[in-house]
Amino acid sequence: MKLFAQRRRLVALVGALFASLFIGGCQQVGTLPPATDQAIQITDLYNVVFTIAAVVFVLVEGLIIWSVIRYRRKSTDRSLPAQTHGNFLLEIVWTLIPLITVVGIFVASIGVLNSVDARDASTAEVKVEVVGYQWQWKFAYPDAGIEVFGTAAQEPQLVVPLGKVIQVSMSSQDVNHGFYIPEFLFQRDAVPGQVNVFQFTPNKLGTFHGQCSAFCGLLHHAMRFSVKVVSPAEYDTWLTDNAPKPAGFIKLRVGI
Amino acid sequence: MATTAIRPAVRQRTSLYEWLTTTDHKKIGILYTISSFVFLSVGGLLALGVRTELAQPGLQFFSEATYNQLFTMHASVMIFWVIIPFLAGLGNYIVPLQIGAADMAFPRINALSFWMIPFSGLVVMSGFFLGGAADAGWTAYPPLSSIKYSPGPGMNLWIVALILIGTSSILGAVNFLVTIFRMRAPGMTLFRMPIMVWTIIVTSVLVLMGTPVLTSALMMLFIDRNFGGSFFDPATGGSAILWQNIFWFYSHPAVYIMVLPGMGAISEIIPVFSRKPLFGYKAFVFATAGIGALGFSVWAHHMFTTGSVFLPFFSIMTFFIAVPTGVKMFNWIATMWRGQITFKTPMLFAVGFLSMFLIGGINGVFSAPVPVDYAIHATYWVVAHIHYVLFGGSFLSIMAGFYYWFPKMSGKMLDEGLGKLHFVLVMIGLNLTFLPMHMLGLLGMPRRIADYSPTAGWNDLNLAATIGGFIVGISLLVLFWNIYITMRNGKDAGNDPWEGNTLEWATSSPPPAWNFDRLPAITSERPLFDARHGRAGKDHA
Repeated sequence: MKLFAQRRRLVALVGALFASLFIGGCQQVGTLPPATDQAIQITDLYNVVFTIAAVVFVLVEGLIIWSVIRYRRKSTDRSLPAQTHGNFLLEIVWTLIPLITVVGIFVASIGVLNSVDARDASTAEVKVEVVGYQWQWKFAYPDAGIEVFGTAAQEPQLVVPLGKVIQVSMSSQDVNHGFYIPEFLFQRDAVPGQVNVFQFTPNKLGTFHGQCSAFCGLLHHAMRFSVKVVSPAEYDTWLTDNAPKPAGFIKLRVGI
Repeated sequence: MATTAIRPAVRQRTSLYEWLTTTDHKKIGILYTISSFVFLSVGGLLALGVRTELAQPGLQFFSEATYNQLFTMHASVMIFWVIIPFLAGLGNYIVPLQIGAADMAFPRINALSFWMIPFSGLVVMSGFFLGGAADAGWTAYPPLSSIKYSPGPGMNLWIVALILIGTSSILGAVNFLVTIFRMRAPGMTLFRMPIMVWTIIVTSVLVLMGTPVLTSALMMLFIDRNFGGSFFDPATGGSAILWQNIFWFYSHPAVYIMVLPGMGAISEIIPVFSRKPLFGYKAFVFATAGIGALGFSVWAHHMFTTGSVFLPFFSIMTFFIAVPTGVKMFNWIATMWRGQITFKTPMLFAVGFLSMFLIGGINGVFSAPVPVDYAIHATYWVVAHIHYVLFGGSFLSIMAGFYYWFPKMSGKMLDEGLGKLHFVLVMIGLNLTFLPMHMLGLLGMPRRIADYSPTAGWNDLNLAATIGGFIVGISLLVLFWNIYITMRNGKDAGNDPWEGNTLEWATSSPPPAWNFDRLPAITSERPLFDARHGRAGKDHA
């Protein structure tokens, strides 16, 4: 009996630990606040997946914990328990339910994917070029003739207008890099030898931190940048301020 | 049960020479286990190096150059020199016993397979003393892994060592398949084989189909680096993405190579400690084969963000592969349902596996819907996922199997108290390490960074993960201490300490060189259960 009491205490202790870990974990179970139209859709999809995942987790983990507690061998258990080898119907049911669930999530995700990955060049209102190199980024506005180079001392800033469709054409000069902005809930690799194109529509003013997400060697962690979303009027001012002077010399400014 | 003559426990002293030259599958299995523990210590120290550096923002202990070697070598060692050989070693010891064979089909090739492991391990580690180990990540994506961007000797050593360890796996897989298909005892039909044996079959097929593909990719990379080839160099007509396709064609199935035999071990342990047969034996076999088959059609889900993937196909296949894994989870729970469960250490680890692998399965499904993957790919979310699968899954199942079969291997019972302490510490440590990583991923922390901004809001979570990592390290010391004192003066195990179901428990502990003096009748997948209780249950459906 003493052993049983000890065991119960152990179970309670482990249970309490997990409960506290789980509650601690719940501080950040959602995504960061989304800052583009695309990110809002991704957040919604994430929330659907998370809800289903949480239900499945609680159900299955609950079944495990229940079996472990309820079906411990008691000192009165002399004869064998019923030797159940299976149940065809039950097994069909628990194959079909997960199958239907995942197909459902897949269907929901494809709609979001088509919208997030839409890159109809005719809708693009601002076109920028992003080039990754060891270990920084170049942001270029070919239509305005502006180029911004990041350095180790000064991380580059991509300035974009609120509510416009921004089209990014991305490549790499050397190794793979990853263009990742957490609050856009988005990343795309910069791969040498290919140009990756994607669009986003910022819907929140502010400065958003970004950094390289594809391991690219020594100073991978230092490939930070930011995206500054400004009003269209401010954006126009920024363009004129930074446009190349007719004299042919290019004035580089990072940010505003 | 009078199936085995009880022989006096004669402690024969085996000389070092005998261990070095042995072709006995049991000794080789033990060698695999020892080698895996040695590399586990190395890989664990590398991990603690990573966690120590990340405990706080700023570079306090290592330079970026060293840090990049630490995480590259941590992953490489843990995958190729710990988990895969550990499972191969358990299989080596257990499979011939479970099918009632005297040894593996090709004992000398078996010895060769083993000795390539420590040798290749030395090759890959030697980089640390020859000017820098491999530092391009365990995925070694070109162009970063090319001679231009990784000029050091570490990368070449890594390629050679991986080709060697791959060859060891391929030889082992052939050996397992021939052994299982040709050397089963009379009465041991395919559907009476223990699930462990089934999982080794599927794993071996995955190795045979996948590993040669990795080997060819490694050779192409070696040619690119050393002889001016241009398979992966976009500047001269090659393709950087090609490597990713070939690499993941092997390395995704490799995840199943690393988890299926563990599932096999779990499927031996849960029925024994629940006193019930495995629920849905045949469904389990088909689910295992299904995972193996689907495993080759999901590789590009590692590449959703490259812009070069046919997304819907790889997305739906990734969703599908969650289904057979879910089926297995229900089978295990149904096995415990209305059973009579005793919580010896192997069963604790088995239940730990269920509850942790569940998390690793669920947080993996988040990467199947492509837009969600865009948000979490290459962040710490993925680090959390892979560790719930490989640590919470593979490693806990290995530990379950180790505690379960240690009495058979050594003839001694590991201390239960220390075993439970190990279990509690490892469960606390692993959750404290890997649970916060989900949140770090959502907060935008990319993987493989040596340093992070102190204002990013990642400090506390990183510190928690580091503390957890050291708890895991301490738990391992408890295990080593347990092994040490048990080998010195552990209790005798007897032939069958757990009331096992399968043939390995029908012989002495440890078994004689020829394995069996005589075999019980094999009329179901639980010959020893039948011998003990008569045919209490019917054959599985």
